Amino acid sequence: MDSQTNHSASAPADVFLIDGLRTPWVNAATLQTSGFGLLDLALQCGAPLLLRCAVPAHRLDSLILAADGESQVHPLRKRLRLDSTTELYQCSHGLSAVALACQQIRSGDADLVLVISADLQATPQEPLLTSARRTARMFDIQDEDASAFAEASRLRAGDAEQGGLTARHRITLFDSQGRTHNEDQADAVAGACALLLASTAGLQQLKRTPLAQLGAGTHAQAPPEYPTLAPLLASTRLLRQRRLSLDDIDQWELPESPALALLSHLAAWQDADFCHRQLELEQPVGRLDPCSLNIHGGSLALGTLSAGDGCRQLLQLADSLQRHALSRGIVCDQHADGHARALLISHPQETSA
Amino acid sequence: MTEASNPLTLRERELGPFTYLELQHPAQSTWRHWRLRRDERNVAWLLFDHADSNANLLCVAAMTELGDVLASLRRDMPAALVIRSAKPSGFCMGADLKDFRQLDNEADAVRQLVDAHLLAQQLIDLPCPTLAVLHGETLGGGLELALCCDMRLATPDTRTGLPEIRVGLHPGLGATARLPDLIDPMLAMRMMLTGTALGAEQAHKAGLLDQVAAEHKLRPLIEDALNGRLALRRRNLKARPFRLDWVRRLAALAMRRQAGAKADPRHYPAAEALIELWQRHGGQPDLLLHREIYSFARLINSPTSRHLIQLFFQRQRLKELAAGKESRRLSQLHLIGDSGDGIQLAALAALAGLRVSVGGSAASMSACIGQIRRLARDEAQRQQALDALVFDPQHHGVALADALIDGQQADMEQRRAQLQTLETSLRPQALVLSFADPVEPLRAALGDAGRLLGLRFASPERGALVEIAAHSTSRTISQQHARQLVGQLGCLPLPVSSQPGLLLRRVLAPWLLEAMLLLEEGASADAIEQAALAFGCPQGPLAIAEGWGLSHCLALFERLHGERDTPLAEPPAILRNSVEQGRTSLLDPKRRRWKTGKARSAKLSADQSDRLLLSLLNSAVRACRQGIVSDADMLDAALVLAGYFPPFRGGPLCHARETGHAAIVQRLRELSNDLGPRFAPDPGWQPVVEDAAPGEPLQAG
Repeated sequence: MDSQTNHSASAPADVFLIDGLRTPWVNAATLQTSGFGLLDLALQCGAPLLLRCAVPAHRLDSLILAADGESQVHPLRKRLRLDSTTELYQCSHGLSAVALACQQIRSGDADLVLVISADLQATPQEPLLTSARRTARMFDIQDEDASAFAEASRLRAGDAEQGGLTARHRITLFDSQGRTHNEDQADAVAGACALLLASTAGLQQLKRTPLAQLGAGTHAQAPPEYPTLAPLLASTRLLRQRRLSLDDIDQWELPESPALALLSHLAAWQDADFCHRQLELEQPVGRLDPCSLNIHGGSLALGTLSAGDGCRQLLQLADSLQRHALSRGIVCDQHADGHARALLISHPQETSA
Repeated sequence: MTEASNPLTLRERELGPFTYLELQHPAQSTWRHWRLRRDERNVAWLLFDHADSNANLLCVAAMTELGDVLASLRRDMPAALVIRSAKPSGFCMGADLKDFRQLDNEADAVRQLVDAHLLAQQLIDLPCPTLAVLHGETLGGGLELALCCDMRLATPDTRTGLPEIRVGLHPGLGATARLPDLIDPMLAMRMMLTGTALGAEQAHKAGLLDQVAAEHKLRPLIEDALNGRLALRRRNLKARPFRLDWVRRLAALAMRRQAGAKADPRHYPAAEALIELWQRHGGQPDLLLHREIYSFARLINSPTSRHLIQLFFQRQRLKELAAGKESRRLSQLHLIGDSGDGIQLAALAALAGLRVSVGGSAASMSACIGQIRRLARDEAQRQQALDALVFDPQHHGVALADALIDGQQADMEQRRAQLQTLETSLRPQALVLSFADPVEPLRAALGDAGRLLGLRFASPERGALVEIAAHSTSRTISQQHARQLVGQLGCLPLPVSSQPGLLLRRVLAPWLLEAMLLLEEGASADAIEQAALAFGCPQGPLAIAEGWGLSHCLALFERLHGERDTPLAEPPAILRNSVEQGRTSLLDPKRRRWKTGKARSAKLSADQSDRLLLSLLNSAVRACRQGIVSDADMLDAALVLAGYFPPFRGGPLCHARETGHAAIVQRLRELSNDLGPRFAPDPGWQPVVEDAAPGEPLQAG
């Protein structure tokens, strides 16, 4: 390992994101007519991913399903026809599942981990909206700013769709009647995203070049009145832990719905007083370049899914880093219960050279 | 069945004084096929354990030995007798058809049957209580044996049935009398007339089985049965009305109508014989038992039964061709292209539990899903098959596939290019199976042409025959693999050499051509089709041609016309015109009306029918001589199992043999004098010295 990456020297093993696939995000009406179940969606992105990466069923060490509700990972393993020796886990959020996978790989317990997140209903936005309005007032963010940001985000998403950038990791869904669904729908309530994570050994087994390398992750819990502050806390903690400044990060994927919350987040980083008192920083974090933030849009255009969003953002960011040959990015998700997780990812050539 | 093959549940089996482990070794007893031992309470346990087979067959040797066993029991009477099978697969699959093949006259058959009936009677007359404990397949003679016991217990995986009708027979060991006596006679007759098996629950409800219980719950039930505590329902109220002659006569009327609709009684006499037997003697079971012997002996010497038994063995042979090593099972296929055959294969493979990546268009994936929905047995299987299907337009699946299925419809250049690019990521031992006809032009595209084979489904149904065409450099191991794949799909593999039209279409082409020529000469299409149907063919030649597609027929005829070895006649103008006009049917509605105006007779003359049949026989002999298929038996099996030739006639070459080669060659010579060289007898005919009057119409029966 070279000196450039000495900040991650504490991590005993590298974790790579080999590849990922997601289903189109589907709205309630389509979900009704097509009759997809949670596992149907999970399977339809998981199986092609295993096929694409040529992973034989017995090679996979563990399967982590991120989904709300009762445990469904056993039937999923059966339907994916994985070996009975595959370890099974289930948690409720996408990035938590990724963090768990990273942990397993770093500890040496696993070489290949399949993370699948799947949702059948959208996240309730009410508590987040209330919190976003309260924080917006603190940092003097106007509703007009938020709607302008939302509009711009939708435009970015539209451009990415037109340019075929979104479709690179998106599969075509087939329902049991044989009808196809291959485009993201607005106001989505359901979707699934599969990510294949590997250790260096796993990577060598599969003989593939990875999409990205996963670095450190942090977790934060916001005060219960202000659940939307969680991403702010988590990403600040990540920057401070890794001694990084905003300039070191080339791209960001931050939760953007509601837009008021994201704008408050950006304003807070520029607010010396807030940074000093609440984040215990001597200097304000600074101004984040809007061109590096959510460059292909996000949940404002697609809709918010509690389990799937984190994985989708991670995949989107990894893809965009690779395409633009950029070195570092941070992805952060947000949950209605005031938790957030931030994850640093980097271009694999950059660090393993 | 699946439950029984699980090694853990095998150990659970209730075997009385026997242990599971000793059954793994050959019996150390006086008898080869039976094991007899008494437990501590003097209950005799008799295990049926056929020495030379994985499934019990009631062969002559086993029957003789059973006689000895019963004699030894009579000398020292046990407290009770329990009969079971030592095989995991089931109680008994019925009589050994190999024995039936050797019976060549009625007197011998009657003698053997009388012996068997006496034996059954001895079992019934045994003064101690007798109990049959059944599991798995309990068919034909096996069920008849169980019917001779006082009580029958069974495990839930038991299937009881009397499938004799499928080989042109009816039960011959007393079931025609004992079954209607035990259960609802209408159900009994239905079982015997259709040959369908009952599940354990159904059979229990019908009263055929006294109790159904899982293996580990059998012991207390056996205790109860032997102590006379088992509740038996022997009041067969439904049989009462059928003791009256007129009731049976009425019921037989309906049965005749149904059976006649399924199979022509002139061609398949067994159903009629069974109904007749029951109608006349159903009121007197003893007389019925007696008459059954003579009726069975007559049937077993009928050509229909002989041919159907032969077909059973031929089918068995094809199935054995598909058998392969468990470790070599194919588990993943990759389909390219959008052809219907490819989609069919993909759907069958997914249903058979293979993983399938579909590299065609999204439409072909949808078609595949539709096909699976149509074919799936139940919801669970449908779900499993759909899960096994992955849409893979970027052909990632090629790297993992055991076989690459080429269902492309593009022109040869594109097909070759596509195969060439994909072969680079294909594993070295993987197969390339193509629906292209012929496959030879694709050889150049592959670095390793030894793995390339051609495929064709004989019909779109499940369990259909699949022709596997090997070209001159196909590897033997690849052929074995391909046959195994076809077996995994539940189809029958037919290895043929890769020639235009493979085997089936090649053999049938002259027949279709002759039918078209007759049509052109002015014979009515109805008459042509009727002649074929009357012969027993499931489909007439014109209907087959339309099923294949007229343009395909024309292309095939032209290619066969271009062959050097005994080429086919010029394709008829009627076909050319139809293809040029883009029609899908030879029967032009306008022309048809014009023809009926001339009021032609609806039947073909004997000469015309001979032309049809002989063109088919001649071409079958030709294909056999050219070595398209390994032997004559295989050719017969192929044409019958593909549903082109009537099963009761045993296949074209068998039919030719039985008609007499000399007579056919004579007739062919006459026809070729009148109609031209297309009827010239093929050099493959071997004039066997037989007495058939020359010149007489050959389509009798």
